[in-house]
Amino acid sequence: MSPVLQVEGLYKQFPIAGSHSVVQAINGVSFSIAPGQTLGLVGESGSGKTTVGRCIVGLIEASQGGIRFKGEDISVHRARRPRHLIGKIQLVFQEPAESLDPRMRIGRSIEEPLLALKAPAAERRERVAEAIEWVGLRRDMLDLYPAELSAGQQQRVGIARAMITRPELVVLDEPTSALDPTARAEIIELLMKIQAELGTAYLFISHDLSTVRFISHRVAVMYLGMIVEQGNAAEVFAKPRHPYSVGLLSSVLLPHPHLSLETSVSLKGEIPSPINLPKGCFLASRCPFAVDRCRAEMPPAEDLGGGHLVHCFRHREVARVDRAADTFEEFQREAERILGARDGAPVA
Amino acid sequence: MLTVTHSFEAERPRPAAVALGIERLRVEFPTVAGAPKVAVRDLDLSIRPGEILSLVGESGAGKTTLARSILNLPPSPGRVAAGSVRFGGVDLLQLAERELQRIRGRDLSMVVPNPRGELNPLLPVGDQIATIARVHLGKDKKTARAMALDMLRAVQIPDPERRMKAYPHELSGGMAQRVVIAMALVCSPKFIISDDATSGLDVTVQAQILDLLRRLAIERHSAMLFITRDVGITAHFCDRVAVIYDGEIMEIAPRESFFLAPRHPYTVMLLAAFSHNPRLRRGWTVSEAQRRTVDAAVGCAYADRCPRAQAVCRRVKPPLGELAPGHFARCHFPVERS
Repeated sequence: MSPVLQVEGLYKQFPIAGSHSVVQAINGVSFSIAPGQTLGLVGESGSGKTTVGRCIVGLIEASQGGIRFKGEDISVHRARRPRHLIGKIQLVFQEPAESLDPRMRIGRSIEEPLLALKAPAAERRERVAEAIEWVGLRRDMLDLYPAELSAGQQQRVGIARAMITRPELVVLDEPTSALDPTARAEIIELLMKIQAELGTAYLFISHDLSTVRFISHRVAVMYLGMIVEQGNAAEVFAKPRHPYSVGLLSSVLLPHPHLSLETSVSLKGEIPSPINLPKGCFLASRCPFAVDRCRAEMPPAEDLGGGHLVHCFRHREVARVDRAADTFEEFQREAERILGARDGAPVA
Repeated sequence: MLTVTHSFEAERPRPAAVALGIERLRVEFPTVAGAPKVAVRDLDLSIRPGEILSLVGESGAGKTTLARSILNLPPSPGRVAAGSVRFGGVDLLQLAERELQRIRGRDLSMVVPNPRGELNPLLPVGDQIATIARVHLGKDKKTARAMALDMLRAVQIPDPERRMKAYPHELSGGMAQRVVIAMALVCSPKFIISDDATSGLDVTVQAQILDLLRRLAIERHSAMLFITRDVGITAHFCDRVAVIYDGEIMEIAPRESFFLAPRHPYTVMLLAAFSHNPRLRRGWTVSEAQRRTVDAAVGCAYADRCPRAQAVCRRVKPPLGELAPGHFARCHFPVERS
């Protein structure tokens, strides 16, 4: 199936006021998302994840490179995109409380995107009712203000507002990181349910790796504005081949005292400044595998099969030291064993 | 991977087997309706010297209120209504403000999230650390600066001499958090409270900071109350785990026993939420429609959300019973483990 979104060689530079230098926020990012699928975009703060999301939604314009939505070029600001694409790409923000107007009843907030589509009042009412049902909120909540809802409920409103235009792609920028564990689990399950029903594609931006592992079909790992590795989520998590992915994944702490993702690969030192990026591979100064070649030239994408792309000259050496074990799956089995106990079930 | 050893325990004399003892602590917030809202309900908790106790719970459970009440600084307009906090032979809640000020930051210190909010934006961070050593330990300017520099080294800030002169805005979030930890540890406190101190950090930085906190706690023989929402950290970091719900400890157990054989239905539900297993999580969750309100003063505070709740749970508050050595749960119908 042809992808719903194609990003080709995307660059974004931000000028620094009072100076001729620029922040190189995105440095040649390429990926695509298939209809109804989720791409998880992971990386540390400052890696450029959010900037990629904002370029796709059109809140900012990329400096260079192409963004195509179902084949149509959309690499410009949203105000200059074709009118028929309004509402086709939506955004859900990180902080639910801050992304809702505190003085607007939530029914009005959810309805707002339809005003841009000039939908008649009767249709708007109908679709608000439908959207609120998708996200599991009650109809009597439509008259409430955001402050009267819990954080999880506020995020449901944010999702309803994004979904009401029936988008084909939703950019979710850290939608669960401000939430409690139970609310987070509910929101993730809700997003997956909506995707199954409506066939919406997601770009799921997060630094919460175990959530990404769970929700994503494919995953892309960002470092200093580059995707250093991407591929099938289960495969990348079980067999990361870029030293940075290995280091990032090993820092995940699973809630089980005996399961850790520890590895022999450790990254030293500090992240280089995005103002003066080094020549060659951006990780070379911190990477235990680095050889002279890594410092001289940027490694191109290499396909390890099945669309598993890695930008590393030394990925075979990485493969040799890193164990190929899916600790996440092992954890799931353990969770089933420990938490599955249902003895003495309550008398109804 | 992160195991804590207490080989140093035998080497130094211990005045007490408890570093900090909280007894029957009750913190209330006034409400317009009249009856105050109980944020911390008659809570007992004791932490041993050198021990790291992790306190997990969701927002609104009373974690921060508890932490701040230990320092007798309950969040306004809350007030400590009853109870005691024994520390170093005295009850902190009975001390005069002047005496408390001497203890806070010196013997008992707290690390909070949002490091930039804690630092004075107009002063170099080195001065801010040194000031604490001067005020609390009476050190002269030169010694205090040397101590501050040592602390910056201890928290592994690269190029510490230069960073002494840095202003908070010149530091990254991870660096600023390290400075705040350095401030909390410069007087080698006997007790450290970490309130969600690593939540805003990236995973790689978080791992470094946790490692650091634990190492410093062991080296300096400090006990720690480590408050977090993330049970992933807890599973690898502490000696014991306590779960707080609606101002009450629901379960408290040694780390391994807590994660491998959880007993309280709330704990199991929390762990299921982290396991990304929707079927398991739903199995331990009561749908909103089935929820019935309970009076937490009378019955179990969790009864309204508990799939195991029966009539007795709403009538009689279960005690925090010992179900296995050192493993306590507040539940009439705890999960059986063989």
